[in-house]
Amino acid sequence: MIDLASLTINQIRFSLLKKEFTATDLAKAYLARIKQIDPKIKAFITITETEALLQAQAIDDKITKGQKLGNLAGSCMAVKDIYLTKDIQTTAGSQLLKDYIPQYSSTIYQRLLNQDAIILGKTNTDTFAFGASTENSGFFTTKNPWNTAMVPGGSSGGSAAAQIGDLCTFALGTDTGGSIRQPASLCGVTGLKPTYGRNSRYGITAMASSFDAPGAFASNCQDLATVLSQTAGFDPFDATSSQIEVPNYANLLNKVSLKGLKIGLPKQYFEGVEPDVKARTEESIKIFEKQGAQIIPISLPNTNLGIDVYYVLVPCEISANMARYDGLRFGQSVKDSDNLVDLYFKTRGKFMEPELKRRILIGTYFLSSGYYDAYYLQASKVRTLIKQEFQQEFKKVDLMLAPVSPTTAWPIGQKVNDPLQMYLADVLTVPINVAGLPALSLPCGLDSKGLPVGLQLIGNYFTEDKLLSVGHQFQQITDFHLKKPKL
Amino acid sequence: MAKSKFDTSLLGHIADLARIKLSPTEIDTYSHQIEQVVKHIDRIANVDTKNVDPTFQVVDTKNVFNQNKPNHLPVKLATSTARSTHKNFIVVPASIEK
Amino acid sequence: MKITPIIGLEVHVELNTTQKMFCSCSASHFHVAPNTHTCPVCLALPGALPVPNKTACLSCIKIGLALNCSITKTAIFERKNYFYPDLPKGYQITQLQTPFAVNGHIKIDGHTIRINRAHMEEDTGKSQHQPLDGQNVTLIDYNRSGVPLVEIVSEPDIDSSTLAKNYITQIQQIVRYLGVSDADIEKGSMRCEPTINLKIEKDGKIYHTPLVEIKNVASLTGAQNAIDYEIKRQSEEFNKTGQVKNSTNKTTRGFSADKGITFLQRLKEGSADYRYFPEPDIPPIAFSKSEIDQLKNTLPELPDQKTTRYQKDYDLSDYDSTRLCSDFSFTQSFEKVMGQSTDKDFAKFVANIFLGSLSAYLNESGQEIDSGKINPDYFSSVFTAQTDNKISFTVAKDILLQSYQTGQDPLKIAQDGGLMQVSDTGKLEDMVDKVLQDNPNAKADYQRNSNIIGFLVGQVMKLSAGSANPQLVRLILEKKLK
Repeated sequence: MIDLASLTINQIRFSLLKKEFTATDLAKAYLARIKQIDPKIKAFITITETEALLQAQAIDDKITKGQKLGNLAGSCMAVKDIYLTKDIQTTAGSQLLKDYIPQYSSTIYQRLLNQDAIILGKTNTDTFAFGASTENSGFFTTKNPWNTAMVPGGSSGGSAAAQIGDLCTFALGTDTGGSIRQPASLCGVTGLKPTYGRNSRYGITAMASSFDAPGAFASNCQDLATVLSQTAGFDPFDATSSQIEVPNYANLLNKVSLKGLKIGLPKQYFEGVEPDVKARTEESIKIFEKQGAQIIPISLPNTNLGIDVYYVLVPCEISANMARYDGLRFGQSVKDSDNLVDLYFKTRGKFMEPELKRRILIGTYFLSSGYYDAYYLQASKVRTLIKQEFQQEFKKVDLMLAPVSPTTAWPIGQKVNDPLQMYLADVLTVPINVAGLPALSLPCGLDSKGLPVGLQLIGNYFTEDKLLSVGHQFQQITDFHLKKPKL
Repeated sequence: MAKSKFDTSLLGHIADLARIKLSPTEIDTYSHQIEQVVKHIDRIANVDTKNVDPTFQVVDTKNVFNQNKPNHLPVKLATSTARSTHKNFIVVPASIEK
Repeated sequence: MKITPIIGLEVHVELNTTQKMFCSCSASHFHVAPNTHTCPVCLALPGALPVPNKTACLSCIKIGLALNCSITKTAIFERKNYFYPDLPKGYQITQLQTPFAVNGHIKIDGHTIRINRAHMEEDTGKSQHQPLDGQNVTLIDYNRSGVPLVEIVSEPDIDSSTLAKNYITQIQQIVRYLGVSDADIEKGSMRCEPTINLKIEKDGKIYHTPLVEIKNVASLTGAQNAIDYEIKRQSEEFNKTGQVKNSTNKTTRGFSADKGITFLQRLKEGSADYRYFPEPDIPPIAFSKSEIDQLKNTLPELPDQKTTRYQKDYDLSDYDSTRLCSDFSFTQSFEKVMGQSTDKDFAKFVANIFLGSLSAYLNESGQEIDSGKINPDYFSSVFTAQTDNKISFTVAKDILLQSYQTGQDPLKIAQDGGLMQVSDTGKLEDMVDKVLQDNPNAKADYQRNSNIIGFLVGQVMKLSAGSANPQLVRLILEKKLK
């Protein structure tokens, strides 16, 4: 009986080589658990049983033949359904793409397959990643495994829930305004948003092109480091992907010394935050302090403008990125229509979820004739101010620490009819996306209701190695990340 | 530039531009919801951005050019998800002049 | 009432790059099976991203340099948003605020036409409207989607249809000289859209008619005819309605070559709202000054530079030089023959052959010149033979043409055909006598008008199948006619 809860990526590979179990055994174990648990939390839109077993068999054949195994051999991944996976249904969490079978795969997914990872399924997401609770999915709402009446967070809620539910070894997500960090925090998982451009966006449905940051969830920082080593790096199909060399993150986990580490606490991130969230975060700060870290209060006055910048620029980019969804070359479309224009209107009107429509309308408005200067251009300038402000403070500190979400998980349905409230809840995560910085979300305890709290470590550009090292050492001396819900 | 009030007629115009057919209920609901958002965001106009350059891309890359080799999709695959095809053309209902 | 046409031209040039503008698909789409040169990027599948073609960008800059433009230091791309099925992303990646090249000019017929910009963008797929199973449908082929286009926009400095035609021709030549496009209007690798209105001076006041953009101009003559028709139409319209240009009454009219008219296509009421914004998927492009200078140095000699040089180096007339330089392959063949030679007589000789018999033959047979069939040695040897009076010029141009057609040595053709110049006065006298015999009134006519000697020389040339030495023939005739 394989203990799925305790597996790490390296252990799996090692176990395969030692023939403690086969890849097929492992895949079957995960699939069985998914069958048992997923009906309660509904993390998956598509479960790829056939593909998983085929991939597992191929790995087992390699082992039999004594061939070299990929670095992630046997690790089973859950993939957010906005990542295109060739020949496997990809819906982006929307009725627009129901039954869409992609003609190609995303670069990250392919890189992981090349390292012998196995896909278990496509996870639920807010439609096209627009949302912070997974309630905007065009299919169903995922439930938080800690309390199934609560949201798992979003937009990568399916992946976070699958990860904490031990339904996968690691899971893929994307973070445009907090969509990895926030569900990680709400579900008690470790999640990394890398620097913009660190991971390729090719083959992932675009939400906001200058914000989208593909990343992952895992049980701990070490596994995140292993995954990032394989996915990161320049992709000739993504002109915005970084040419900066990819460090061997897994080898650098003990590089940073906590003693003398300068950790900045931006005061604006601790305002308007639930008492338990604040308390758990502060307890963790004390842990760092005890290890010799220097805690330095800093100020980021432009923090609140982050939401404004975000909700101008993101809908603008969305409105253009969503224009290709007309049902002509792919995706659902209305069958009866008088003419082409009618077809466009009706297809988009019928199959787009409300949040899609809202953001496209807002973005179209901001870009419409006469408004470019007041909104898009102005927001782009304020974006510069936010970037500069972070740079100023990074001169004083090595990294920053803050809560991820002002609250822990909230009841399903509570915020659904108040989009503005939903947007404002992103206040602690979006400034990081506005600036393009990397951030790591670490579980740091539970609130009085038994719901997880997460803190984020924010780094300067391309300092994922530093973040993961600090996070790893934090996880060596704490056990928050080992806590699991009873399922 | 004076900002328009985000009312139902403005929403109708925007929905036209975005090619989304909205039901009367949607028009009512969305124009109210969007107006809330826009009202909140309007405060961005008060930020002093004189002499500030806009950030269109967060990272400092320049001059990235295509180095990839041709890799055409087989035509059957390329058109496999189309609404309608005819002799490998993608078929759409008659269009009105651009 | 004085009418001055105000014409601006927007020309799109399809580049002859191997790959498309933002993906690696083959850019060739002429007579290619539909949807066989596509990929996720140019089909705009979910998640696909554009990566720009460097050769295309450099070609755009070359065009800008050839048009005397300034090259923008840091250029970005932008999205122009509109919905149409041949535009799969629902936006076109183009340049608005930062075209690669700006503020240029070219000189034509003594006019200076300013160039507003030359920028980079991508082409759309091809649409075919037709009935299918009882429905009206459009068939779309995305092979052309994403092919690089350079858009060249002039200021409205053109004031006649002839000048417009010459402007388009000049752009065509420049682009062909640069080798970046075959700029064939019929094939669609070069498209022109004139925008025209009229300045009308009437009773001491000045009026401007509303702007009209003309689409579907499919040939040079078409451009000229469309403009002429518009000038007439706008003038009549103004007389009828007195309507003047304002910011919202620009219209688009299509041109029908068959009917020779323009017809209203779409009211550009308030203009389509394209919601331009910077393309976030493509980092800025900034070539260094040294890269641009290097590019400048690799520019070939351009038509007007060549024309000037031919006049200086070869003493050719402006007219002949212009005609020779009007076609890039023609000029290449001419220079192949000339080689390093600076002999002005030889140049004049070669120019005459090229612009005379060779040109006539190519025009008649609808062919382009094939520089592979041009043999410099043949031209040299025939020129020498002519200078040595071994053959007449008439024979020279014939045998060189035949040599082009057959590949044979022209002098051998002359020898085999008995065309070597007859300078034997005895033989010539016989021929002259025969002609005078056939023209009994010749002597009398000559007394009245000495010019008829030309006709008689021609008769002798005819009789000799061009081989008679015309100067000697003339001398003999003059003697006999006195």
